[in-house]
Amino acid sequence: MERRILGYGGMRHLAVFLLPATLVLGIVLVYPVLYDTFISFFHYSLLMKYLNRWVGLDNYIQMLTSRSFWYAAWISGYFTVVSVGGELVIGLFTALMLNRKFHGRAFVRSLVILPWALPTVVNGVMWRWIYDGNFGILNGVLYRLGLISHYHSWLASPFTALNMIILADIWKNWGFFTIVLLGALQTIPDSYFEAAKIDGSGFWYTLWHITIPLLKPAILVSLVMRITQAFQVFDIVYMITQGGPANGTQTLSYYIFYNAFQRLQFGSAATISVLMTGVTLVFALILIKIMYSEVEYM
Amino acid sequence: MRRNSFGLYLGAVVTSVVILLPFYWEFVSAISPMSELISTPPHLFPEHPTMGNFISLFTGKGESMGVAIFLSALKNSFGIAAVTTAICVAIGSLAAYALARFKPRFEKSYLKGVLVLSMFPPIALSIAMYAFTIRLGIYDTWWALILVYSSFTLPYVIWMMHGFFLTIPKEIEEAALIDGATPYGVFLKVVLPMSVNGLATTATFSFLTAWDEFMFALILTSSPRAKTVTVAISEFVTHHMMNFGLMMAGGVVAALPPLLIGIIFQKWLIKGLTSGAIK
Repeated sequence: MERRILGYGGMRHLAVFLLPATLVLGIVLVYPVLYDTFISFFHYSLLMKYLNRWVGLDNYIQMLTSRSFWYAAWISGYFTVVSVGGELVIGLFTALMLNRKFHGRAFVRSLVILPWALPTVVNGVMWRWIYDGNFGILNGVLYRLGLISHYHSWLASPFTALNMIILADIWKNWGFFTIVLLGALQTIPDSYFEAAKIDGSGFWYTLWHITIPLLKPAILVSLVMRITQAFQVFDIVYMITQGGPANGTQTLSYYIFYNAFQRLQFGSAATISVLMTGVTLVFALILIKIMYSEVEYM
Repeated sequence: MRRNSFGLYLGAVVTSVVILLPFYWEFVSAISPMSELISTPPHLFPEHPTMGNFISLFTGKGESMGVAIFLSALKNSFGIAAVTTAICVAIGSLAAYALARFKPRFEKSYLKGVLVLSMFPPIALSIAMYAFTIRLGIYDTWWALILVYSSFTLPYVIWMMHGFFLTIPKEIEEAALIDGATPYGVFLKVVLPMSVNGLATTATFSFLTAWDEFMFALILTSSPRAKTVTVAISEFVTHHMMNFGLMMAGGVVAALPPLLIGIIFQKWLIKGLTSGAIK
């Protein structure tokens, strides 16, 4: 137990130090969630305010029984699992690679951070141009290599478009896992791996039974962080497909955006927001549980 | 052993190519004239490189909406990110310092609460903040975005600086307190000068995330006086016939500050990224 430092001046000073930040956090994070919860019980439109009225749980019933809500939820879920899964696997292997010594390692290591530093919006337009059906480089290269016999419209069918967005997202974000896991790998003493080598264990055995268990806390924390972000994906969808075609890339965030700012149905948008915030809360509690139990592993 | 290092180099080359190709294509497209962009097969090397796209980006010589506002959008992005960073680093460090040094009973719960709040979906916040900024009369101004951006910047600053303050020795502060300094004086004159490293890492990271932000800017701005560069780029895509050369040029300009920071301050960035996951 740390000694409390009374010399700092006690409660009065503490309050002064904490007040500005707490006030701002209250306005930008607590108030919006309360507001959402409140208006989720109303038929609430910004256009015709005189029609706004209390509807109880109607919004929730309507959402939970609507196909488009579950479709958006499925798209967000699929996006999260495939994107983050891909990023973790690629990120782990590049981290293992960069943990070995070779010429040019510093160069590759500084490259890895670049896609991550690229603004999401720029990443979006860049891939939209790469995927362009008529003049995009993807068609051009694949065609020249003889891998496709005719130009494809990569963003024209819903499921392909969704996967193409995922590909662009993986390209941008796998570096996050590389950087975090490389950092964690460097804290593991070489002697662990040398011992494994002397015992004659192969690459996969060492990876599965030694490396991954040692990396577990770092993997779990970065995984939950990325899952939360991916579940809330909006920017890249807006830039590449704007939710189309046929709503096939309309994630939950996009669905809320559409309801709130295009249909101006704030009540329904708030309802989905509350549901989504609930799911996020579960992620957050898991993260806290992992972070504060980390001591056991170390 | 030999086979092993061959695999290693192969992996390194593949990784580098996968990362660099899209950047290369972005850059080449930005300096290519329209005629080369819409050719089949695509020109992998520009035959007549041109600065035309960059020039029309900044002079507004072009038909597109986005172009006319690009310069003001750059200014807005820069100003909003800088002010957000300054305010959040200031009030966030104050709070972090109080938690780390005064050791209130709720230190841990406060930090956990901040973490939980910071994970809430931004789109869920945007609904309330849209109505709120209109009522306050700050909709479509810098202040709307500065306020809303603190929803992700402030939690980050509090966590980072709390961790940082725990690592600096408190003997000097205690000596100053015994000499009769106030906690505010100690914070300003003793703690901050010792925290330049931590503050710089945190500020760099905050600036980048604010510079990159798109969704709030899309929702909370409607005119050139507050539209940010990310919104300007999105308008290239949505408003007009797509001029990809112009879009790529805009992308290059918008990506320049974060990429330069990424290269020059790589160590700080890596520290900022990993500190959450590795203790």
